[in-house]
Amino acid sequence: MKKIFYVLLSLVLFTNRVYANENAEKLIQQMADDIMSKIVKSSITIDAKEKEFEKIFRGSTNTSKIAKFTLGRFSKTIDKDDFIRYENTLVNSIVKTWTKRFVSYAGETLTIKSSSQEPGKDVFVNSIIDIPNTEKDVEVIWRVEEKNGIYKLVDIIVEGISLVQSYKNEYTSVLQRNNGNIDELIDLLKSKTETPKFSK
Amino acid sequence: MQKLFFILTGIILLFGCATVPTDPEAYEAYKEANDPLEPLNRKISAFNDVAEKYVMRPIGEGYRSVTTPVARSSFRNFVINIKTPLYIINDTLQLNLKDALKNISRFTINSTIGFFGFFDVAQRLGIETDANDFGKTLAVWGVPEGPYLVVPFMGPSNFRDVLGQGSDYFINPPLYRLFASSKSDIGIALSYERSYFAPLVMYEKNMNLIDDVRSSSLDPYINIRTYSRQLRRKSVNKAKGVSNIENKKSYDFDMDDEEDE
Repeated sequence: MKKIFYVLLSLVLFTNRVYANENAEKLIQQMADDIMSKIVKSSITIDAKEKEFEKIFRGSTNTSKIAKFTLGRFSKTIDKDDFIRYENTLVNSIVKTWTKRFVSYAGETLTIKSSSQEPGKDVFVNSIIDIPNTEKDVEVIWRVEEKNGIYKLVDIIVEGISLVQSYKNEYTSVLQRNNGNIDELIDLLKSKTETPKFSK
Repeated sequence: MQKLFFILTGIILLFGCATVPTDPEAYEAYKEANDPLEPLNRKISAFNDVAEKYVMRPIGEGYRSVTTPVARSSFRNFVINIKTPLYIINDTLQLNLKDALKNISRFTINSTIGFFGFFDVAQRLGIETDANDFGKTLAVWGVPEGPYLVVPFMGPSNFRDVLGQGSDYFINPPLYRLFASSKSDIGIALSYERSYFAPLVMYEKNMNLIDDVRSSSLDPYINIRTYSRQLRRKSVNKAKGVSNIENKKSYDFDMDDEEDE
């Protein structure tokens, strides 16, 4: 009886324990360093910057998982070829949008504070971005999955806003309005990416 | 008053309600969106976009062109300082005495050494808290948020926060009202601050974000709904005393359930 009690107690303690994860922290730090040296501070053309960022993004992110998640319930009915087309369009859209943001860099600095992971779950890497001339730092949490010792980014949560959740809500709403037609979503994503109206 | 209530209810029922889906998965998504008034909300949102483009935007651009980033940061500090007594009242109503004391210290330090709040000296001393309001107080008291709402000229909200905003107006420190009703210079300055200056100062800060959402979104209405709801949830959770680790669990949604394993 006593044994069972201790087993149960250790299970409770074990499952509630949160660990730091240095590998996930390294992934994010490496990603931030690469973006800074190869894109922000580099003097190459915007097209070359996009290519560099695509390499960094595909190398450190599970793009397939993100693409599937953002399609919500519609991911169950999409065929393989359409899914690959959608995934590539999504990655292209993210790359172009974010490269433009990196180009208009205004002295922001990223500091990794800590990380936490419950057993069997994804790692959450906590960081802050200091933006000059603003009152408060921005809290950014990086969600990193670990599979067979390989770490991949799966979500970014900025001040409580999950990027993939936002994409999912938006894209499933477009699909809902178009009877699940993936071509409509791909065309819309392409048109937004090709004719961006960026802020000053 | 009763007549007005029935007219408003009639308008909402006639023009405002979304069709409830019959497909189980679509119904789940409908429930998760918590936006039964979506058709009406979209119309108000479109109206707000026009008002933003033709009224707020030129004023915001004008304000930006005649001020420096440092000056704008000081004005935001001033506005936050003037609102701090309201934070203290709501901290107290939520029995969050720690934050109430912090905000009392912030208000005292920033109003004096910080030159009427233009400089956030308290933050430099490590005394930091969050904004507070009666919407959060209602949440702490257990009032559910209710459906998503878009308020004319104000933007995204929900039933609980609309009630909270109205209440904040009335529970705003009586001292300000006294000054305002006495027509003293400070009272007039404060009433102008509350009605015109504060929204402008806070709006200017978000102008780039609004542009960004519009340029990169396929459906800005859905994007703003998602953003505002997640931001508010984080802020309400903090007021409820939900720990960082517990709060983090809300981002730990299952990403594998749509995957073919």
